[in-house]
Amino acid sequence: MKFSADRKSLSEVLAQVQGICGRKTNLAITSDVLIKVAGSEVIIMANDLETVFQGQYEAEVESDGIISINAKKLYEIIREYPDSLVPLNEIENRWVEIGKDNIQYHIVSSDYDNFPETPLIEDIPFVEIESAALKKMVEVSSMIGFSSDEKRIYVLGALLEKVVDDKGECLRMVSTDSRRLNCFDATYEGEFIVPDENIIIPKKGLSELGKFLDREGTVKIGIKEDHFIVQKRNETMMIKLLEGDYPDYRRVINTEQMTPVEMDRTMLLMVMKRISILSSDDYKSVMFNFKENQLVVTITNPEIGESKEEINIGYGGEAFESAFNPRYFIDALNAVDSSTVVLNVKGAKNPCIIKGLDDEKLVCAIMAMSV
Amino acid sequence: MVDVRILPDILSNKIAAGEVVERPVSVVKELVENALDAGATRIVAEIEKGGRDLIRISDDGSGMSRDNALLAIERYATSKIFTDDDLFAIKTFGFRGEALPSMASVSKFTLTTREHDSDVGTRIQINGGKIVDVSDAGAPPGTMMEVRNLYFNTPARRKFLKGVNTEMGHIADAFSGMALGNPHVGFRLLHNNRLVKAFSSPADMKTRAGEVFGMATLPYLCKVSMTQGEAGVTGYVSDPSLTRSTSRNLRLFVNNRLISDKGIVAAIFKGYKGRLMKGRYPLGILFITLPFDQVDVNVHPSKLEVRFSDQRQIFALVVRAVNHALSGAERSGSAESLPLEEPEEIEEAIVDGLPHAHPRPVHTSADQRKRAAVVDRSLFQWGKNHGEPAKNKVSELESDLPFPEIERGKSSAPEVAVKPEGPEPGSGKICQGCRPDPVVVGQVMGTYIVLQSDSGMILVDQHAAHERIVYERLKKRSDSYRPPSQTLAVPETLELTYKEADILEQIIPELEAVGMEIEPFGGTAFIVKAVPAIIDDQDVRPLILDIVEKLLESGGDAMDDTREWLDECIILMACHTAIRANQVLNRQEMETLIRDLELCENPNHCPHGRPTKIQWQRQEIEKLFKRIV
Ligand SMILES: Nc1ncnc2c1ncn2[C@@H]1O[C@H](COP(=O)(O)OP(=O)(O)OP(=O)(O)O)[C@@H](O)[C@H]1O
Ligand SMILES: [Mg+2]
Repeated sequence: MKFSADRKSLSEVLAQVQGICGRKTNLAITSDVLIKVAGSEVIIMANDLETVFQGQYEAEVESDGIISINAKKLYEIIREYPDSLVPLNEIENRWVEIGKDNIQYHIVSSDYDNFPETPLIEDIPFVEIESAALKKMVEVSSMIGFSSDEKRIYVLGALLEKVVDDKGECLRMVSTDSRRLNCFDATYEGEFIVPDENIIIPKKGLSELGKFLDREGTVKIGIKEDHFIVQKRNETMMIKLLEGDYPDYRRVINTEQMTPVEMDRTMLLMVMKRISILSSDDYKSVMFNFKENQLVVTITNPEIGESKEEINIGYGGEAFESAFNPRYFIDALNAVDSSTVVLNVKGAKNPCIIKGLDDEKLVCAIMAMSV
Repeated sequence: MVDVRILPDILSNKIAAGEVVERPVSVVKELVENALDAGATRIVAEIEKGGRDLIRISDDGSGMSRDNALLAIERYATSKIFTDDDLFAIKTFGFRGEALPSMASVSKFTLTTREHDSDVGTRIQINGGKIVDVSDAGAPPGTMMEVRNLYFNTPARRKFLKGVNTEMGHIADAFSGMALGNPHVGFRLLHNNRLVKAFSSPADMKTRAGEVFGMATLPYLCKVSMTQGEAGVTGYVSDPSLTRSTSRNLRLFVNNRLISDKGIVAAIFKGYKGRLMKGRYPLGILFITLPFDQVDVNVHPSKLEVRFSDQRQIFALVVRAVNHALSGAERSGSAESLPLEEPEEIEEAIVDGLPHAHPRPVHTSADQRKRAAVVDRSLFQWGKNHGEPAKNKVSELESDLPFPEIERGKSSAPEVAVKPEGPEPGSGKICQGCRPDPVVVGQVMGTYIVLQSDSGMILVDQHAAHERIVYERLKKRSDSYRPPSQTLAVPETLELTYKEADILEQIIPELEAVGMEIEPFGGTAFIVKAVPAIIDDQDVRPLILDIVEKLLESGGDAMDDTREWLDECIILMACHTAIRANQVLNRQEMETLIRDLELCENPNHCPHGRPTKIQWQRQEIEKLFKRIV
């Protein structure tokens, strides 16, 4: 195998797969990338058994071949390489030579036979979706994380669903950690065929996918057996789905019996940022006191002190007091696009459901705390 | 009251003979059914040792005259059937006249009964089938049946009784079943003098279902109602999102008789049509009514099964009724919000005479914190009259403090703890006898932190140390506040064994006090609706199961001392929250950990009593290296 490729684009690709290859697994080979050279093309693959990346790139090929090489080292070498073209050459016994003339590396590669198999992507009924919309969907979902020893499937993964209502069909992604729940809808072109099982996409893979997606253009997405597949022009990402139940999230985001309160997004965001200065791991709840045309937000942290802010709002419902974690408000408000947000509330202990004004795409439900 | 007569031979032969009293639960079932047949509106069951020692059922039904009572204990004596025709259209629960004599022959049996219009009651005592005493007795109107020492005269059978918890589990199950079937009757079940179940009367079917399955299940119950010809199906089945791993919470009634029938269960499943996950069972109560002559109830010795004359028609009706109920519920919007009823608010009462005492930062004494926390969450009066009055309050309280300075130094200025030099009062704690100011050298094995102190070397177990820190923090908190809790978007379901459920049920209020809100969710299932905010990023299921397990091991009943239990619970929480072994820490994390540990009241041991640190004096080390002898 011998080829030369554009340093910049190769380094960008390798940067992208660091997340996949950098994960600690007991299989050392998953920290490698597979480089396959055939014709005038180089195929680069990363696979941690959960998330698979595959891309095809133009290159000046002298001879075909396959190598499996440590992704991190290769990336670092190529990133720092001074010329615009990097030559890679498998010399013998899996030794790979990178560079030429006065800069040369000899790197041991591994037996490519051990590289995990890539799922076949043939005859997948793809639908087309705007890359920016999918990116937002993925970002909104991976915003809600999980801790390292988490075992609940519905916390580890986000649900992808086809929703059909009077406005037509759309794709919906739901993500929760039980303390809050985000739900994002996006339209698409084509016919999305829903498999029998729930589509639960691991959030780990979603955060890789977020990096993978651009802000313009469209991508194709599809489900093949137990993989969620996203295809850009010359690059593909496949994420192995999780298996399990997903709770009935619709109950959580239902605002039918709630009172909507409109607020300026930036203003509320600032309030939340200021008020959370006094929150700490042990005292993370902020009191929201809804009164006629007024919202009073207070926090008391016995270890630091307290703060209070009053906001004028259009609220005519019954006065009540409820507690929330301000961090979740900050996240939600950052995700909403409209300049006016609608908080749907209903007495103490009920969730607060945030949407943009006249925007049903994003729904953020924040569960109450009680003090 | 209809007189009791002895059934003519032919008739009694037609009645399926068999073991009536198979185990304690059969006794309970027969006696409760008798009470229901007697028109009772309130039934109390008192059980001791899972029914081994005592089963006592009292009712306020018709009662019996002395003659009738004496007849009732004869075999094949019943007031409920007279002719062949009656036998083929049985409307009452009992019909064989077999239950009382059967149980009286294998126990120490006492029957006390009084008719409503009679002044005096009758008491009959039977010992292993022999009448030992018949006397007048003062008694409230109604009947009380006592079965003591079941199988005392058949030791082999007694040996076959399962453990107290198992037998009691069956009893509670059957009892709940009968309560579901008879919502107009009030039921109470006591075990070892402790109230286990209480169902109010009169209730409607849905309220009763809520009482049995847990109020939180109510929003998930879909009404079933369908008739066809003379047959009808009514009741409730759960939304497919509410399921269990056993069919125990699926209760079937045929003409109000609690029965089990695989065919009907299959029909219900068919009605769910792909809405259920494999291996999952819905909750529900289903009442099938049909003319008495179209169902034979006399096919099973414990009357647990029936035979329909037109089985296909009944099954088809059940399938349609269930399917209709579920699709109806879906159309009308599964829009019901999560069951988030408010639990009783903690009384915001003023504990003492200080109506405006304000909460103090943590450095006040525990008592003051407690009082303050309950009164108001704010330190100052916000708004108008700022400044003066509030400030006065603060200093007023301050002067109450026994050692304000030391207390304050402890929490509000923790930086002092890791000062490079200078003995501070109260430092020196890290190890008895050694100077403070240990310097973090590093971490070994991802588990132990190496410290150098003036006099030697200290090894700290990071998990044990952090456990201690979290434990003291939580404990301090729970002494003064109800810790904030986080409501869950997805309430966690816990499915427990009867034993575990029994324990958990008892500790619900205590868990609530630490911010964990749990509600019964039908049978032995529970839902966790809110968790303490301090551990809100964790799956609480393993934690709760762990707590229950611990209590089971420690005998469960030994829970009088709730403080001790709470402590146990906090220890477990601390353990689940604390950093683990094999977790790489950076320098800052290690230093914070050591500093926080030093601030603990008992820094030398983790809450389980294991040491948090081990120290080697310079001399000991030198000896090991044979530098000195
Ligand atoms: N709690 C009660 N109150 C009033 N009468 C009762 C009560 N319990 C039993 N009896 C009377 O005693 C009779 C005998 O009861 P027993 O349970 O032995 O037979 P049964 O109920 O008629 O038939 P089965 O054997 O099927 O239960 C009943 O028919 C009834 O008349
Ligand atoms: Mg009977």
